[in-house]
Amino acid sequence: MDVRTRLRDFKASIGPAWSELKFTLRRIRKSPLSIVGIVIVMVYVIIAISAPLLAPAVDPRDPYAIFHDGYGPIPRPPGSPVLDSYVIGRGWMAHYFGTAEGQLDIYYGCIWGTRTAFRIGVLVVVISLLIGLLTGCLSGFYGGIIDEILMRFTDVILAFPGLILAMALVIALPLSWSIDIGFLILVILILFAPILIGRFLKIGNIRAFMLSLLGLATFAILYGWVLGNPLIYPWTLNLTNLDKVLIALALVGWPSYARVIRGEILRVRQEDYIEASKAVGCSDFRIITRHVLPNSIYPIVIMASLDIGSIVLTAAALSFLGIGAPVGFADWGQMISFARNWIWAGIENPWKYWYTFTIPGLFIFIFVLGWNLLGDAFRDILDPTLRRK
Amino acid sequence: MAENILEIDDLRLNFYTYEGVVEALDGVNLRLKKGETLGVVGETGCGKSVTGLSVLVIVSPPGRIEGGKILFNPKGKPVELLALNEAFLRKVRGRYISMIFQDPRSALNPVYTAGEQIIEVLLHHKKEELAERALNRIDDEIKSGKTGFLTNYYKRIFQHMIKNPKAPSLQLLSKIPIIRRYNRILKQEAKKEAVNILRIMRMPDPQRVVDMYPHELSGGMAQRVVIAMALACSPGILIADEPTTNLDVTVQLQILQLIKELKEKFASSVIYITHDMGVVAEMCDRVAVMYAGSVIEIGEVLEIFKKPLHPYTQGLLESIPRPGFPFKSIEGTVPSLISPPKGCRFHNRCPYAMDICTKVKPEMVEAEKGHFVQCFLYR
Repeated sequence: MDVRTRLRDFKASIGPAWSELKFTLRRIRKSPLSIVGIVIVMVYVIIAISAPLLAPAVDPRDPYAIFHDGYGPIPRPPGSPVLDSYVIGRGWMAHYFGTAEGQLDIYYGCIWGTRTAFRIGVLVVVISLLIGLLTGCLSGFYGGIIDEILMRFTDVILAFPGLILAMALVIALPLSWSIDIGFLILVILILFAPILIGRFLKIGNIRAFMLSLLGLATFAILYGWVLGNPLIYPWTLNLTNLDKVLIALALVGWPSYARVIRGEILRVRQEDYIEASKAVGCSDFRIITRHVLPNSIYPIVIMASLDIGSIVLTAAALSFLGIGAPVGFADWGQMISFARNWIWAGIENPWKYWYTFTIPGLFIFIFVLGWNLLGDAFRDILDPTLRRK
Repeated sequence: MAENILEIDDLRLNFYTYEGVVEALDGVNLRLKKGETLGVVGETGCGKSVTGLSVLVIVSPPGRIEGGKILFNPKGKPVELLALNEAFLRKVRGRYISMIFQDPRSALNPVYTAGEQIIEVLLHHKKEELAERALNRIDDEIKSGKTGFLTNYYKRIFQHMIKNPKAPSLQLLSKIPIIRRYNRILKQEAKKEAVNILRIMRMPDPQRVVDMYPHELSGGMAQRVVIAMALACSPGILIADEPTTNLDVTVQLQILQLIKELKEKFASSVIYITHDMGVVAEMCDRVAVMYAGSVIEIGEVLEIFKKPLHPYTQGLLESIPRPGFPFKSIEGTVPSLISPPKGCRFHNRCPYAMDICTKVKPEMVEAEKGHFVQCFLYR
């Protein structure tokens, strides 16, 4: 085949997808709110990417640490000159957005805080989406006892107020985990054993799985009790406070995804085409990944894009309560918590220190708004029932 | 006499619902001969469709098969389907036994094109054949001097695939991006085959239809795609579960003729599930009449139409509306299968009911040659 025919084949093969994409773009162009949402999120992305240009790091080893301009307690208004000669030496002449309590630069905190916000929002949503997808798929598709166990477990987590549970988890999680790499590899091997065992012994998948669980239990007992948990090739995972917040929020956030996915799968599972794909001889894994999920994923995509905004809010609340990022870490929630003492500045000029809470608050507000608008846009273009309206 | 390709013996199936246990199939006995079309008729809820699903062993909960035997005998070696494990059944489904569903629109997955769904079946069951074709194509390319630098790699892969399409090494390779590009050639071949099958289905403009999504197809076209999926691997048995019920009359006729023709070409035997006696007369060689979960009468089509033996069959045939005659129907209603009547399940609607009918379930008797009936009248 020469290049031209290949190009033609390629064009023909992506033809339908391309026309759908064009339709999608036209839809987006027609609704101004979704454009606003996309623009807002894009601006934040640009800010996050170009943070080193917008706010050159004062301490290059730790750019997320907001720089101090002395340690004076009283905030100074936007445009005040920088006093610290070291900071001036790094190229900073003025505090564009003023300083917070302890002379922390608000501009610097807001710019680098964008990266923190994206990290928390996206990572938390992705992790909880993965957990939710796994549990939701298993319980929705198989039903019965598996459904019962998994769903009661999600109920337990849903029963706690999310923020309180997240706080408890942040406090309870250790700062470092030590695990033996050999142990880890063996555990993974044993977990994957059913595939091989099933092939060679010609027993059913479920029996092989049971066998591997038995093997895992025996191995764990041998390793932990008999050998006394030796760390031969220790591998230590050190968590920062921010990582702890991240894990805690993900562990709290997944049940709602699991519920929605389960509901969707229960709906799709009844459809004739699932029965038809069984009649054709598809395996369960294939039915779930190729036939059930593509028909049930849209609500979750929309939910996830809305959640990226609200997760940032929750993280800000945790930071405000003082159990989020470490002190001085560039994080919007913490910036607001610095402003806690300066919201009311006395009877004659109550909003004297408005910049301490308004500016980081605006950053959070617009970020959440952007993701909400984007979520709505996603719904309009992805939801097949709304798409062609 | 042709041998039986499928034997269903005393099949029992229950649905476990909150209202109680529904005894949906109460000892179904069926014989399907090689090359014949067996009609299964009966009212709604008498267990026709469930019998079809049981043959594929895809009855979904709360339904459960409680007993009986399904012997599948494609070439002299009978296999008991209910005793097979899931992995083996997956090889049977779609390859040796396949099914056409009632509503073609909902039997197609809305997110894939018609072609993709046929290709899925082909890739699942006919990998060797496709690999062979791909290999031939590559050989042709080599002969005409058009070789890319991956041609030899593709060739080796396909040679391996023909030997053992389910080899673990191939399964591993098919998961790695870039390396799995050989799948594309396979898919192109499968697509050609799909177009070919659609052409045999007398689908107008099959080249275009393979790239269409189910919502773009008309009912008749969608049903043709479903039939194409079912017949893609020339199965031994085709189970057609009311394939024309949701279509309008002219399309119905086309589909019926199509199934009739394709039966000769692809499938050796057809189980045709319907409640339309007219269709049965047109399509089938033999008919099994079902009532409340059991087969009550089996015989040649003409035989049954000329001389129905079971009182239910008589009632059923009389209740076909005919111009110029007053409407007739069978007295009473279908019994609840949660607590079915003892003895013959038809006795409380039967004009000839006797004492024994309320106590004992009648045995199947051969009233005339090749005409079986389950009724005490013919003992």
